[in-house]
Amino acid sequence: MLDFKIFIVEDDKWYGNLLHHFLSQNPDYEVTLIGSGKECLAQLHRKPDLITIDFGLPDMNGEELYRKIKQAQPNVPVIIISAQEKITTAVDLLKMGAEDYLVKDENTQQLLWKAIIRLRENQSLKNEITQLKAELKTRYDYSTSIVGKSPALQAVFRLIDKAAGSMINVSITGETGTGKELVAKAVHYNSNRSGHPYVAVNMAAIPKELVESELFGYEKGAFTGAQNRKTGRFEEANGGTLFLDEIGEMDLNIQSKLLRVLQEKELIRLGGNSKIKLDFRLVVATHKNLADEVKKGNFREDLYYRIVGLPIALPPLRERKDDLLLLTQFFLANYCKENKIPEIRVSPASREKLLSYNYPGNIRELKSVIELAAVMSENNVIEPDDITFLSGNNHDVDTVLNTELTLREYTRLIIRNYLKRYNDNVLLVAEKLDIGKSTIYKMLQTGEIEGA
Amino acid sequence: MRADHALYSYNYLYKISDNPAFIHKMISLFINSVTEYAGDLQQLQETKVLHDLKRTIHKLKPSVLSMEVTGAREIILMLEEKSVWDEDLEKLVEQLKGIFQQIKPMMEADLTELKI
Ligand SMILES: Nc1ncnc2c1ncn2[C@@H]1O[C@H](COP(=O)(O)OP(=O)(O)OP(=O)(O)O)[C@@H](O)[C@H]1O
Ligand SMILES: [Mg+2]
Repeated sequence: MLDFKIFIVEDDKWYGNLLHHFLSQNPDYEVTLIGSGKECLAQLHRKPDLITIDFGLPDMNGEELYRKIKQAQPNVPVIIISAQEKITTAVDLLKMGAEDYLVKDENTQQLLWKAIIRLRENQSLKNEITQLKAELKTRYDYSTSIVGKSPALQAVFRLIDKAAGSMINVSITGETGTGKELVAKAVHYNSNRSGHPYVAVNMAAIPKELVESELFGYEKGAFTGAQNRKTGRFEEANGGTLFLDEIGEMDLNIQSKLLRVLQEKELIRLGGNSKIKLDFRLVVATHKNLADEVKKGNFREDLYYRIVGLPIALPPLRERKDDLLLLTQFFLANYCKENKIPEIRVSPASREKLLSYNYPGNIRELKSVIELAAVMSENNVIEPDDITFLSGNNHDVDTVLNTELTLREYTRLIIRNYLKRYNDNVLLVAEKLDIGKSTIYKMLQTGEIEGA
Repeated sequence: MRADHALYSYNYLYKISDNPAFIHKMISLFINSVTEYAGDLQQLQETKVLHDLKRTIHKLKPSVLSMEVTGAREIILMLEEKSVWDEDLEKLVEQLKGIFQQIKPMMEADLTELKI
């Protein structure tokens, strides 16, 4: 702990030295004796943790010095020590916020000693409370960034809490866009390791040949091109959480290496020979059914049991339609806030339309649908025509047909798609679709569809 | 050196520390103070400003009481009660000054005795 700096402002050298001697008995206290009010103010930049002032200083009285100290440093505790027993002065100073008011007598030092101890206890209590509050705040923040009131999501929240409160491994499953990454972060940031690193690695995003060096790191000269030592992601996550996203994509060779790391809790960098201790919580996610992958021989059974830990399954959006409008409001509100525009409403007919769709891209898709609709809307109301479900290319015919749209909406969707594909070449698109070019021009003119 | 004297006492100092250097320092600081206070009182006997007298009394009270200076406590308490500058008060000031002047050389002698 850092030293507790105490200023004793006292012009009576005898008394000042007495207090100095007395307080210096505690080795944690760094005590400075100061002879005048002016000198005290000049020394304030040293940021004392406590100031005791003698009420009867020759250059300014205690009350004046008290005010000036508080002006410069409002939070520093001040104890007044006075030879006067004038109770009104004492009451006034205490009302102004002085920590204590002591009368000089044979008990003063003991009282001062106790007052300082009490003060420090209160301070550490205060610090603890601010810390707790900060923690609570981030917890709260997280549960507001994951939106949902449906029983399915409430169950997920309970699991996040359970996971956060322990060090157990966590496996998150769910279709694409259901919020797996969001949950992984929530587990980490609500855990008592939140002050430590959160390291996310997407197994689908790293070329196979690089996975090992990325995870394990390497020593200088481990292979051609290894010009410097590199710490791997396992090591980076030390003390915190490692999130392995799309773990189902990990190939069998790496799977066995990961299993070893989890068993031994240590690793050796590529080209190295010293063992490095590891201590992280593992969170994995996949949109695949890992148990099926085990049956198919694509995933090691022993690794599966190691990583499964506390499983959290995220329901697809179509199974919790009760959250859909809530999420819509959430994304809309965020959109308006980010773009500094007035609130946008969703008309009842639009609500119906939003609810009728089945969202294969889940919440990620809903989010882009809403943001696009917000862009398209006029007069701060989203009308059904502002809502376009499939913006493009990554959805197959099946999902298009599963979507309940009017024929006109289908037409619009298909034309948009084609225009995009053929760089707004209206003639070509008309030819491909075997429709009149005027149909397309009319839709473009009315704004029913936009060019790319 | 004895802690007890007829006119004052170092008991208090010995109670809070057994470090001779500290005792020495506190005694010499006290000698400086009483010299100063005797001078202040002398001056006050001429200016006769009650307010200033009270301030001096407050200043010297803690150390003088702690050193158990014989007779000083009573004088100080009476002076604290005073609200006018009268003959009675003048007498008290004179007495206090006298005490200070009397103990100063005695304490100085104590200091030479105190080995550090
Ligand atoms: N319950 C929710 N409340 C608010 N936003 C959410 C919620 N769930 C997901 N989102 C948002 O949806 C988007 C997709 O979420 P995320 O990336 O976590 O999904 P994922 O399951 O990891 O998807 P993928 O499998 O494709 O990686 C993000 O923008 C995320 O903020
Ligand atoms: Mg993801």
